[in-house]
Amino acid sequence: MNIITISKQTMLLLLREPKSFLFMLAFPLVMMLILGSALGSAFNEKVDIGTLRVGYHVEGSPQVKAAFTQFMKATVQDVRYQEVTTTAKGKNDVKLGNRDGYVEVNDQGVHYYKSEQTTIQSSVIEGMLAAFADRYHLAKEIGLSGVKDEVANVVSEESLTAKKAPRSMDYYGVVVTTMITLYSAIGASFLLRGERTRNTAIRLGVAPISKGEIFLGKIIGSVLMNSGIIAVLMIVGSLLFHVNWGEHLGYVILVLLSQIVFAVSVGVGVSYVVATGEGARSLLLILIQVASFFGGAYFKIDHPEGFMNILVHLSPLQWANSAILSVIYNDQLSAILPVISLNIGLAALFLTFSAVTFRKREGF
Amino acid sequence: MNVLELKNVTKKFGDFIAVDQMNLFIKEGEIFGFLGSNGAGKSTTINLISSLLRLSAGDIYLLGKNIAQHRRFAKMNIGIVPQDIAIYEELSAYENVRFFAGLYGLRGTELKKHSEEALVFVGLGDKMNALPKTFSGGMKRRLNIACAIAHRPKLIIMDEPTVGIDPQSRKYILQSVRQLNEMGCTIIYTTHYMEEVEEICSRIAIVDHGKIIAEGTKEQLTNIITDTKEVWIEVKAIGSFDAEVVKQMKGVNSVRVEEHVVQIISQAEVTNLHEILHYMISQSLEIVSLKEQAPNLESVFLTLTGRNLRD
Ligand SMILES: Nc1ncnc2c1ncn2[C@@H]1O[C@H](COP(=O)(O)OP(=O)(O)OP(=O)(O)O)[C@@H](O)[C@H]1O
Ligand SMILES: [Mg+2]
Repeated sequence: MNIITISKQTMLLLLREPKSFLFMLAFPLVMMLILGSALGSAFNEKVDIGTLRVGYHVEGSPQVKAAFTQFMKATVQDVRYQEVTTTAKGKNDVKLGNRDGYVEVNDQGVHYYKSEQTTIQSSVIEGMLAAFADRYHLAKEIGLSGVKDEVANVVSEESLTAKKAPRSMDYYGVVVTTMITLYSAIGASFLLRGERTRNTAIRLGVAPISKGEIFLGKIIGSVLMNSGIIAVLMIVGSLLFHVNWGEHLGYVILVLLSQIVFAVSVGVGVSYVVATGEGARSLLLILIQVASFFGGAYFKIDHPEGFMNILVHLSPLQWANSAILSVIYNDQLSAILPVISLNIGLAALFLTFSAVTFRKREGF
Repeated sequence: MNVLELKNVTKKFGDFIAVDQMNLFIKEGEIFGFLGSNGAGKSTTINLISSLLRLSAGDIYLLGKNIAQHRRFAKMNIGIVPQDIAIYEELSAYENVRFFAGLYGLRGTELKKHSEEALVFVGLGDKMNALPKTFSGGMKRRLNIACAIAHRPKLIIMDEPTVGIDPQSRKYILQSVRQLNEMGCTIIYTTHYMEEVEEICSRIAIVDHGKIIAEGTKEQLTNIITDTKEVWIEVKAIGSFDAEVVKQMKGVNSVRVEEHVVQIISQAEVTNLHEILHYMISQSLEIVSLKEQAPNLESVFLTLTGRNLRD
């Protein structure tokens, strides 16, 4: 009963703090809009950003060449492409300001070298290329009848969607949502510390309730609240941007829920390691942003190699994203088991550590 | 009956002894004043009574039961008004009281009724739905009290409930304390303001370095000091007066200057007034009045601890 009182209270406190609440809703929606819709629409409707000058060099299999040719055709209204013979020359032209960017395409992937001066144009190209790489790669991954067939359709929105590959909005809709689950950690790092800074820890401490009830109540309240935010985000994302969450929504929700539990536990754990609230917040922000970067929240990282590969697979976002995308686009339901076990296992570690520290500490 | 009893209560923080073998009893219906300068150990003692801190040694009994074995019983019967205001700024006054009262097992209409009554009692009946952000210091202090009394504890411990507030709120709070007492609550009242203690407390303990160095009614305490006397010398302007010089004179225990009044406590059997006056005249101080002061709590405190209650 006391646990319910505490968790209700925790949710009420979070609700009354509209700043962080709004951040967790508005920020991802804006991000989806920019990353998903602006970039996706480059394939359908024309975005007027002036004509861009881009150098390119293509190597590798005929499929890749054909795909890129298709891509250029589809974007020729916005971009003036010029073939360049060597990498050095391509990069140099950009440096001198003769071109807005330089693209190199081969079997390993797409490399983009961008100008520092024309950042808006550059990022538009970058986004289009990311979407191109996405589609090409994902289509291969899910094993459509033949790569050749797929490549021919690379710019045709409908035929691809019908064959279950994410539009860029679908991709960003998913990864930005999983990214936001990680931000639960920041609020969580203030769950117990916040009671200390308000002095209300004294009142909780003198009340006839146990520390265990306080601890559990706080954690449960925070998990519920963040789940609510994620649910709203998924609904709004579906309504506004038609983000595809697939046919196995329950499985996707389980992954997201485990991710929230994981993030909240990390947040609470960090608050018991780092001395100050601001310190804990900064550390968590850095961790979240690194995880987001390597987890593909900002742009998809295909075929990472070497050290990069290790980093990518260390990102909690990457685990969740690949599991969720497998569920949505591959019907691979078993993909959620390893992620959920990992999330819950790590959460248990962090929570045990925090609970023991909390228990040992006199007062709060 | 003793509502509270402390037996050899000790609290150490590492090597530092904050509360040192304290013995104390508080009877039902008392308003017990707890006096001590900064760092004397008042809040630490309160935290021990409320089970917020663990005892290093000794025992505490509430209504005859050892609180270590009857923690829930003890917590249910104690209400704490913390020294630092402890409320949620983002919740309304009512939501604050209701939440804390809810932790004491109150539910439904009873919870609602108790919470509202507590707010009305501290004079915030018309501010129930307002956020504490919009409150004055005095109103926050009153909400701080409401949060501690809604569950109707037998023993209410107030740790400096009147710090930094306007005279009107102070008057209101003192009146509330008396009223709570009349309603049957036993009260421990901690403060730095001697006049508050003189006004409301039936019995007083003076704490210093974690020990109780004197205890009794106001009269009992002032009778302790039969061996000292106090003179107040009012001057026109304090000018070049140096308290240290007077402190060195024979028989002088302590010297305090408050605006234009020099307050000197010396041993009763020593005659040193002529020497003091001689010094003051030599410093060209114009003396306005001179009187012998009957010992009050302030002088008791000063004599016993060698310090002023307030720094
Ligand atoms: N958690 C703690 N760890 C170490 N020392 C502490 C702790 N809490 C209190 N102390 C020390 O114990 C002593 C008594 O502190 P306490 O807060 O009980 O004093 P107080 O009488 O309430 O003073 P004040 O009038 O300033 O509120 C102080 O010297 C303080 O520094
Ligand atoms: Mg104190």
